[in-house]
Amino acid sequence: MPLDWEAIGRALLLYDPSFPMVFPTGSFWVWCIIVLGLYGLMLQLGRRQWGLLWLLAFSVFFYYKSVGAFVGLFLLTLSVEYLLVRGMLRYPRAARAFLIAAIGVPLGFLGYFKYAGFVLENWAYLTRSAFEPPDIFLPAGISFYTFQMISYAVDVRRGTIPAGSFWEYALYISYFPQLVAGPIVRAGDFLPQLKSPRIEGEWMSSGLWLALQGLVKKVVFADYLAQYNDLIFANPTGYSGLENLFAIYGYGLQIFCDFSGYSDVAIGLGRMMGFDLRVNFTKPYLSTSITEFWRRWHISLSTWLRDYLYIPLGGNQRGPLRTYLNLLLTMLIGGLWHGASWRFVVWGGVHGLALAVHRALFGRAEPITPKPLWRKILGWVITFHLVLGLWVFFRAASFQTALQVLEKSLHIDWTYLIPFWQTRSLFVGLLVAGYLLHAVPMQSVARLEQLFARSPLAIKAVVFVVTIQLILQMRQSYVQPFIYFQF
Amino acid sequence: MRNFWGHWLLLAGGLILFVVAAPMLPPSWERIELPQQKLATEEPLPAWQGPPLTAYVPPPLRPIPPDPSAQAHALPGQDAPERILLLGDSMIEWFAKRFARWCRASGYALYTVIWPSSNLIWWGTTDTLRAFIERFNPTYVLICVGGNELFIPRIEKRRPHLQHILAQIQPLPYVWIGPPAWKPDMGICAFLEDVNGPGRYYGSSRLTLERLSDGAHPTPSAAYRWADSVVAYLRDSALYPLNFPLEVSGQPSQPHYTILLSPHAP
Repeated sequence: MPLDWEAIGRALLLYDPSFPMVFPTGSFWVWCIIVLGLYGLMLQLGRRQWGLLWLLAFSVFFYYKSVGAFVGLFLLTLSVEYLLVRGMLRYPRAARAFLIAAIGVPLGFLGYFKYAGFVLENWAYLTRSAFEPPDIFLPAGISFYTFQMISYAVDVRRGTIPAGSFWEYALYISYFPQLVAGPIVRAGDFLPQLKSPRIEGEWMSSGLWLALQGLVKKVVFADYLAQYNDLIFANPTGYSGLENLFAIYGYGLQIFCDFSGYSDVAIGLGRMMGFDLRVNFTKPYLSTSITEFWRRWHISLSTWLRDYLYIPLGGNQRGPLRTYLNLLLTMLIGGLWHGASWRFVVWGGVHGLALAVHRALFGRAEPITPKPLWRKILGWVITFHLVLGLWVFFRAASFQTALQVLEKSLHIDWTYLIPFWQTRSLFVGLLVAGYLLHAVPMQSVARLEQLFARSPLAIKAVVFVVTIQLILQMRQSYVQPFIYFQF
Repeated sequence: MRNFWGHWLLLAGGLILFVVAAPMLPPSWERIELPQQKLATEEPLPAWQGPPLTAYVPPPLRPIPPDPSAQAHALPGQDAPERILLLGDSMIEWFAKRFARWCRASGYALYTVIWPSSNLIWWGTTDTLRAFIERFNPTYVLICVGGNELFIPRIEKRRPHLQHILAQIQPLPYVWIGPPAWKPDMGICAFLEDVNGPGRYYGSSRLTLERLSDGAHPTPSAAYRWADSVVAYLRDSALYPLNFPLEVSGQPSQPHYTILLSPHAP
């Protein structure tokens, strides 16, 4: 069959909203190999600056492939932000005003694109007007790069990092592996690495391992589970309690595999290019308390919220009541960061409340002495199910749907368990396998990663081919966007 | 840098390998949906080979007894292992007879409720369905409604009605038998399929059925073939399968109990 070069060219070069350039697509990997090859060549020739500029150019192109013309807005925000930070350094007397502007500009854009529709919708509801709020396009990744821009400006103002050159700053914000769905990288971690990217064999291997692991999580687990979960969440009353319950467990695993899969690929790609992006997940569903959960889930977001919101609000330094209030406020804002909807407010609010209650009951931090086993188990059961229950508000299209799912899942006829297993055996198999793999200790995973890194290239090639074949086998014909793209 | 290039070659070689081998790779396992029964719609189906059909006598109109104690009386077939309640509009009149034969062969009790001219709004704004479920105490529900809404635009507006219907059926296992459309519909089939999901929706519109002189209702023999296809779906592809045999012989039968409702809006 002759190749349709025009279609291939379009897929590789032009923006198509139906087919964004995401990690599990062939077009991304074609580009990735080209980018890596040229980047490696420039480093080999001792042209590090060229290599970084090449990465920047590709990152901007990658964002264009994700959001189309909105890349212009991104570049504008990026440039204005840098000018404001430079102004802050140049005019120390007006530094505060520059800082407020540097925070306000990206927040303003975020507010318009993400929250204007929500605010107008609520306004129309409160005033009982027939006004129809406009449907505003939300550029992918805006929440992530807004947070990076704010933390950069604040860190420069605090003097913890140098401002760096514009190109370094632009690459820090737009670096393509983490641009649209995190992890939220700190300038203090990333900018120093630009001076000497760590191109080593073991890092490359470890990056490849992480990238493969992330793709398996996303394509094999998350996307397959999503098909069933979508059915149930679309019409929970049309399904039995047992099916709703499985959808709750299924979504818990789906969102973990989807988001941590993305983070794994991003961190893996970073390592292949010699950069260390921080770990974003450390077995969150093994947490025995809600406080521990937030130390293990989306670590880059929770530490960002801690450093730039919770601590500036006063943290735990102004008495217990203020601490609880700060926790609640931080998580409410964290919830709203995820999406402009009251469902996310409730989701964040209940998490904040749970954190405050945990703190009130058990003090400042987890006890240093090991907990007895019964407390660990009890803590795990409560935490796991609280988190899963709250994910229902995260996933459902409305409050009503979320409550329907929860209500249905409380009325279970266990006689359907065997027919369910017979009909959805692959779903159940993946669900069980996914949670079991999640329970494998971090040390064992690290050992496996080291084993892969130290094995000969031929063994790696076999692992690579088998994994890619598995991914292709489970892949769907249409692109399943990452859940966190919408944030 | 040597190791860097080794890994880069691995990536590039892998990509080329998969591009070259793509046509030879097995197909993706992507779909979670259960397969619909494949039907040869292009070729004309053979004529009905069974025994001659008896003349159709409309079942008597038997309203629900107002006395609640009537529920205590055992209905015929209530000791059967599976009690199936078949509900629908006038499309299922002949369908029910052939389906009753299959049920008899499997030892299932079949209760049929036919509400001519009914639609999603009628079923979705009343508790008629719930009343019949309480009366017959079925273990499985089949519903065929939508034939009177084939040409309704913006069918999405019927979603609350459909959800009310499904809420009344829950938690019983059910299959929605899609309307046997005689012309391309304006979205109801896709809507029903989407809401009910795989394993719970049989798409009848893909069948080519002979029609009565009104041009809409299937002829008896066509309705029998329709029933046979639905049975195959229930046996092989439904989310909660029913244990039907592969073949059935004998004349079309009568359900254990049939109720014909007045063709009027509630």
